[in-house]
Order: sequence, then C-alpha cells, then structure tokens
Amino acid sequence: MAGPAPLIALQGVHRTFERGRVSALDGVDLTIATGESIALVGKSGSGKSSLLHIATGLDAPGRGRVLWQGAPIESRRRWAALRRNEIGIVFQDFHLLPTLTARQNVELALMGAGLSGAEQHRRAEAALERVGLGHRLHQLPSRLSGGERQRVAIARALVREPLVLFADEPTGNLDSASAEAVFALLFELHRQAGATLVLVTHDDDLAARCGRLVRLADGRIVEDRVLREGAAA
Amino acid sequence: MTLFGFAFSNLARRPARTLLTFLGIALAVGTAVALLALGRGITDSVARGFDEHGATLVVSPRSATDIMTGRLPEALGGKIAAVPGIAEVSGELYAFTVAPNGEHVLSAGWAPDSSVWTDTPLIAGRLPAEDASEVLLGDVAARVLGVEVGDSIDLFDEEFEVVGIARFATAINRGLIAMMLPQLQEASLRPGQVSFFSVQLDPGLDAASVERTKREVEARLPVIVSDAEEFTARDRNVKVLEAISNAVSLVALAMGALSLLSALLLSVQERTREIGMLAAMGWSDARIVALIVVEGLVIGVAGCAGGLLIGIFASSFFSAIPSIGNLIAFSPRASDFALPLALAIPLCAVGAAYPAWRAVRLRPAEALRQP
Repeated sequence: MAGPAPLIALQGVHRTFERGRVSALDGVDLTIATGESIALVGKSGSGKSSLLHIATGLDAPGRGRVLWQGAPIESRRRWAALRRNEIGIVFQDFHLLPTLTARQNVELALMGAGLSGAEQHRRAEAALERVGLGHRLHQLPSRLSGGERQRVAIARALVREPLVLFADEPTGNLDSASAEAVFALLFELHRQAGATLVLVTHDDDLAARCGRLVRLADGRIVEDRVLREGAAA
Repeated sequence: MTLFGFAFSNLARRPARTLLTFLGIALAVGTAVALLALGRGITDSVARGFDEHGATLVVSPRSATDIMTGRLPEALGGKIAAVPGIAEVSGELYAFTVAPNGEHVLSAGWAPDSSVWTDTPLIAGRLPAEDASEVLLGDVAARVLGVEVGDSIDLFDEEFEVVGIARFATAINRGLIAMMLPQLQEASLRPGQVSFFSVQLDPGLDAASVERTKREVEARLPVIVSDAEEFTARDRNVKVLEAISNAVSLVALAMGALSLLSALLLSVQERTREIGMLAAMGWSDARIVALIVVEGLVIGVAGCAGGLLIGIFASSFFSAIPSIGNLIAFSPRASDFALPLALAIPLCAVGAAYPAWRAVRLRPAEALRQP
C-alpha cells in the first residue's frame, strides 16, 4: 500500500534561460517529505536557486511538474495561496521595506488574511518574539544589524506558521557570528514547530547539520543522501 | 496594516515624486476647471447681458453666424411687433471699436424708445440725447478708458461727449459704450441696420403661446427667434471659444494622466524586486494590482482635490485681471468640476492599472532577479 504523498514533489523538471541556451535544471526529480530538513548544496550556478524558485512556484518549469501533497500545481493563484499559507521563504537579501518598521514588515505577510489590525499586531509581535526581536518591534531596518534584519525576514516567513520553510543562502550577507545565530534559529524553529526546512547553501559544514543533503551540479542532482534519521542537529 | 496604509507608506517613501505627480494632476485638473469655467462664463455673461436688458426673446438673422455679423433692416421691427403676443420690439446694434487708448470696446446702439434706456442704472450724469453725439458708459468702461461725465471721447473717428455713467449688473454691460441707435448706425456706417431685435412678450403668456409666437415670427420673416441662452449658444465665436476651452481641458487632463502613468511606471519599475517579494509572500496578483491602483487613485484623488482649489483660485485670479474680468463673469460652478473629475479619476485608475499589470506579468523569480 502506498504511503502518504510527499509534501512537495518535482518530477522531470527542466528549466532553461536565454532562449534555451543556458540550462539551469535538467530533468530534476526530488521529493520533500513533511518534517525533513534538507540542505541543497552545490557550486554557484549549479541550479540550487532555480530549484528553490520552482519548488515554491516563484518560477515555472519549462518541462516537468511540481506536486503539492500529490496534486499538481499549475495556476499562479494556487501557488500564491500556497505561499501565503503553507510555504515560507527567506532570501539572502532580506527584502525588507526600508520605511516600514520590523513589525510592519512582518505584518505584510498577514495582509489579506482577514485579520483585524490588533490581531495582525499580536501575531507579528509574537513572531518577532520567537526570533528574539521582541524589543526591536518599532525599529526601521536601517537601525537593525544584518543578523537582526534576517531575523525579521525569518519572522515574516514564519508568521503564518507554514508547513515548509525555504531559506536561500540566508546567511550569505552576514558575518560568521550572525550567520551562526541565524542558523541556530532556523534549526531551533524547525525542531520546535516541526516545519520542513529546505536550506540552500554552498557551505558543506552547515549543510552537514541537516538531516538530508541534496547536491546539484550543472542542473542535475548528483547526490541525495540521508545524513541522519529524524531531526536536524 | 491595511492596503491603504501600505499604499500611503509607499507614496511617502518617495515624497518628491509623489508631490510632483500630485502637482501634475492638480495643475491639469485646475487648468481644465478654469478653462471650462471660462468657456461657460463667456456664454453666461453674454446671456445675462441680454437678460439685463429685459429681453425675453432675441430675433436674429437666419444667416448670421454670430452677434457681430448679424444684420437686419431696422424696418423689420414693425413686422415683428405686428405678431400677436409681442408687446415691445427694440432694434439693437453692436460693434467693436478701438478707443483712443487702444482698448477694444464694445459699443451698443439702442433705439431711443427702448425700455433699456429707462431701466439704465445711472450713477452719474444723464442719458444721451436722441440727436446728439453723446454716449453713456458702463462704469468699468469709464474706468478703463479713464473718462468721466463731461469728457469727450473719439469713437469711429468721431467725437462723442460722455454724458452719463451707469453701473449695470453684468460684466459685459459694465464694459459697454452705449449711444442712441441712429448715432451708432451713422458712426459705424450701418444706416438703417440692427444686429438683432430684442423682444418683450405680452405678460402672462404660457409656454405654448410663447412657442406659437416664435414660430409665427419665423414663418413670416427670414429670422431665428430664440431666448438669450439659445441665441448665445448658437453664436459661432462662442462655440469656437467653448470648443477651444474643451479641447485644451482634455489635453490638460490627458497630460495629468500621463504624468501619473509615467510616475507609477517608474515607481513600479524601481520596485520590481519589492513586488516580487510581495508575490513570494503569497500576495495574489489581484492584491498587488489593487495596491498599485490604490496608490494611483490616492494621488489622483488628491490631485483632483488640489486641482479644484487651483481652478477656483485661477478663476478668481482671472476675474481680477481687468482685460478678462471686465468682459466675463468668471466663477466656476459644480458643473465645471463634474467633467474634469469624471474624466480625471478614471484616467488615473487606467494610468495606475497599466503599470500594475506590467508588475504582475513577471514571474516572481524574474522580479526578484531584477537589480
């Protein structure tokens, strides 16, 4: 008897750029199960970010398909709904709006959820508390350190309590101390909330802390192995 | 945070551009309001000028395209007066001439027995005598020409004595030089001619009787009978001025919409990554479009409000300029605001919708890759 469908499945995904001259993904098959922590590693240009974009619906495959809990996702609207409710994404560049406070930046992810202003405030403050920024609610991004900004971005990605969190080189713009703190936070949140974590990184040491490692090269998966059963380090 | 709050925040992030866009729309709407008020003001001023003379109907040549070129034989007045329902007929001649100080002034010749003379609100002097080279000036004309009762003034290469000054109620009459009809016919080389006949009907005529009287006159003579507003609205010069006003108003509004469109296009282009981020957070295309359209409408509505104030101010300003205010009553009405607003707000929505559509056309990953 077949088990439950994976949370996300990529089947035969191809993606090219520049009118087909550059191949970013070349027939990728990948399944992501609920509760996993996966490190997507590879050199620059190996296709990590392209894979993340397609797995989150930010981009569409040229060929192949993506399934969410066994059902193919094809419309922009459906992908937007998934990103609104089930998928959180953290980027290397934080992408915080400079004129909004930390709390307001987190509230952006709650807009359109039918929540009152007070409820938006409460949830945004709770998310910022979780990432250790309860005391920086009303600070503009320009008054926050790089590590703090990334933590605001993480709070924004988590505020709707998604089933899966994708983090694309989340420490790429941080010093080593801040990077370690952000990683510790991501793994702690993964352990506490049980959310699936997909971490894009080129750092093998950090990748080794995940439960599973997927390595890409030239748009193909060249290594996919379980590092440890159960939760991440 | 609400969509409106976020839209306001986005506008506040670029205060200089927001202010310039606001000013662009406000100036466009203000220009449109002022021009429409100007166009209507011309029509109203002329029509009110007729009303002030007590004219119920105006009988003008069928072939005339405007007031100044209309010519009718004065003798036609008797035939018009013979039509049942007509109480009084008075021939009036109008002609522009150049005053000694170079000002172009409108001169009027009114029949000696016309009730216009008896209703003239004199503030100095007396009425002109029937056979003398005498004129009566509206108070604005007297001020502009710098003459008083007892002074002489050269008009049509003849010397006239200023014998009276009147303060009429309407701008057009206040800028007038009036004389007895035969004097103007002779001075302007139009003997026996009038521009039109001013007609007063028997009191108590109902609307059907008025219509019957008009048709009767038109059946007997090669003329058009109309009330003051119809007469003015048919005037070619007035039509040309109104058409110019309307055309320039539309151009001004289109420029305002283009100003908004370019500002929003630039804003959306600059914020492509930010819009990609909103999409990455799960914002639907509709919500992103709504955000940008709301931003456009906020500036658009604010610009329209500013434009109305500019229009009112401009109208007051123009009225205060003697060369304009002396001729035209120039106060905007609600109807002058309606057209600019009815066009400007949808134009702003369209101007905002296009950049919004461009913004959501990109895949989020593509937007996030933008520099």
